[in-house]
Amino acid sequence: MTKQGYQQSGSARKWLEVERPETMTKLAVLVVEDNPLAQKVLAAHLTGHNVEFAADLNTARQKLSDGNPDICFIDLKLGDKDDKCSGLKLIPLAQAKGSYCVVMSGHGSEPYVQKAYELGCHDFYAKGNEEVNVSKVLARFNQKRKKISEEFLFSQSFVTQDPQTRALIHEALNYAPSDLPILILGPSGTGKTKLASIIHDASVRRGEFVAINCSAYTQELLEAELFGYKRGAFTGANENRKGKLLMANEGTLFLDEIGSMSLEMQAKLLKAIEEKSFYPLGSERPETSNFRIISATLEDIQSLIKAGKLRFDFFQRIHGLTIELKPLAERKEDIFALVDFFTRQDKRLAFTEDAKEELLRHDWPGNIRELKKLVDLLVAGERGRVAAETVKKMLKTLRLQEGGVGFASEEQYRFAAREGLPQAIDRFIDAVVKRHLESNGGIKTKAVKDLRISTRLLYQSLERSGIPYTKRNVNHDQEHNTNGTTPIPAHS
Amino acid sequence: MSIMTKNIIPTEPLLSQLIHDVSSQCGSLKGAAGLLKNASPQESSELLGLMIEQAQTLAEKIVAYKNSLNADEISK
Ligand SMILES: Nc1ncnc2c1ncn2[C@@H]1O[C@H](COP(=O)(O)OP(=O)(O)OP(=O)(O)O)[C@@H](O)[C@H]1O
Ligand SMILES: [Mg+2]
Repeated sequence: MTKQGYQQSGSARKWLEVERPETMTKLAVLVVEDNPLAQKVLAAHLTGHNVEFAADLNTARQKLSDGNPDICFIDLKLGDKDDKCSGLKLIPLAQAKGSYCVVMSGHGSEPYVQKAYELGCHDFYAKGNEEVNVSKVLARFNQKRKKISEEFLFSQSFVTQDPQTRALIHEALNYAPSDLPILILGPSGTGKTKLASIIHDASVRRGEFVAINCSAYTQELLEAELFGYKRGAFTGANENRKGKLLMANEGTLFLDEIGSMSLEMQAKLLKAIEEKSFYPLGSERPETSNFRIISATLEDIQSLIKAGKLRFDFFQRIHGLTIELKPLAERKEDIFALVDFFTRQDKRLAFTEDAKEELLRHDWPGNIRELKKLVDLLVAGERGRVAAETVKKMLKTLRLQEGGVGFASEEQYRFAAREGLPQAIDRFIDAVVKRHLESNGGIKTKAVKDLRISTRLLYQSLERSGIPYTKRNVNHDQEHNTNGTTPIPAHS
Repeated sequence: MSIMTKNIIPTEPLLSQLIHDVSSQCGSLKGAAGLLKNASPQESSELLGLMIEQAQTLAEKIVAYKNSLNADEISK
């Protein structure tokens, strides 16, 4: 993971704030205290936070039902005659609002502290030494919030048990409030889009999360889509249209599949990003827009650069922080947590031991998306514990579905329709060759043999991908070359 | 609270109340005193006003308690 300089802007949302210096965390606090002087003292020790006061039970009830305080300080004894410590009554209300509930006791109310804990209060201190006690309470609150937010994040939002992935997500979220561009890498279905939207949510930007899949458009359409156009700018432009750049104003622009953007488009986009201003097609008036860029690709970024498919200056501009998501096969401990997450609203799935092993054995080429599809199938069809056979059968069904509808994936289809089938085939070959080499220690003879290709095809592919090679390394093997082309001798 | 019957121990709840008031209000007096050194003139006059008021109330409560003790003595 790498990062460049960054600027902080805005403040992070509740569950994120704990990651940041305490001084930057502005809390909503309700103080229930009848004594005006004690109110003043507490207010002084809570400077910098949003503090509201209630001097009696009814006002406190009202404020609790109207607001949503992070912390609620409750004096147990409200008024001289309050022998029964009516402050206790507020604890369940504060708790229901998710507030961190702190009771303050004075002489005579100590016996009620135990009761307060039974009712669900989180913290307590004896009145009289506010300077020390309030700061201790705030520290304990931050500690607790950090734990809760982490639990929430990794069990309800970006589900993962993998320590390495957790650390990456943490790092990314630390930069959520900044303008730092973020580049997310990882194979298909590993959660790149999901992570991008989580980062946006945590950024507290006023604007929208605007996603665009660059591989889904021809270059002309992509330009129109990004920059927008005026009526009559080109044939078919029957009305003015706002581009994604403008839609993302004060928000996040998520550029998916950046590898498929033409060099010319990259240059135009780079200019727009740097100047924060651009011309919609057919317009003489520049538009300004202020957005944060998150981009993603499932391709190997270094090869894209080497092969000249990604401008280095554009790359420099978008890769402030690079997050590489691991394939599911490398974090198999996540499988069951994800199954739980995907079934949180449905009936739970139970697996036999064999079925669990089957899930762990599978190599999940479609990553989390594949797991999600499997879970959907199982939830729809299964009663009782799921057996290993069923898992195998369903995984096969999914593979067949992929083979039918998805062998030419949406992305491949669009690419072919845009650039032509021969180009698309080359790209497919390059991806397969590269993946094979990566998974087999770069042994080219093995690639030639396993993939049953000619060495010429291999070299052409390496050339396109910008992977350096010396032809001598390949010991071509005609036997396995079944595609009808003649292998070219290394020295030819 | 000065009308007490024999089967209740009169001074205890009253004493307990007094201790509560003295301890918690002295606590906030101390806390407020600590704030004075960094307070603006306006804040400190506001604080001082509240402090004086609180000190007076406390003094009155102590007197009231003393009187109730005396009344108790007399009624015996
Ligand atoms: N860690 C996760 N926790 C919960 N759901 C996840 C997680 N990662 C991915 N998903 C879910 O899996 C599916 C695929 O994820 P996503 O679309 O983000 O992958 P991707 O890497 O962007 O794929 P592609 O490269 O095809 O665009 C989505 O339904 C997403 O909500
Ligand atoms: Mg995606």
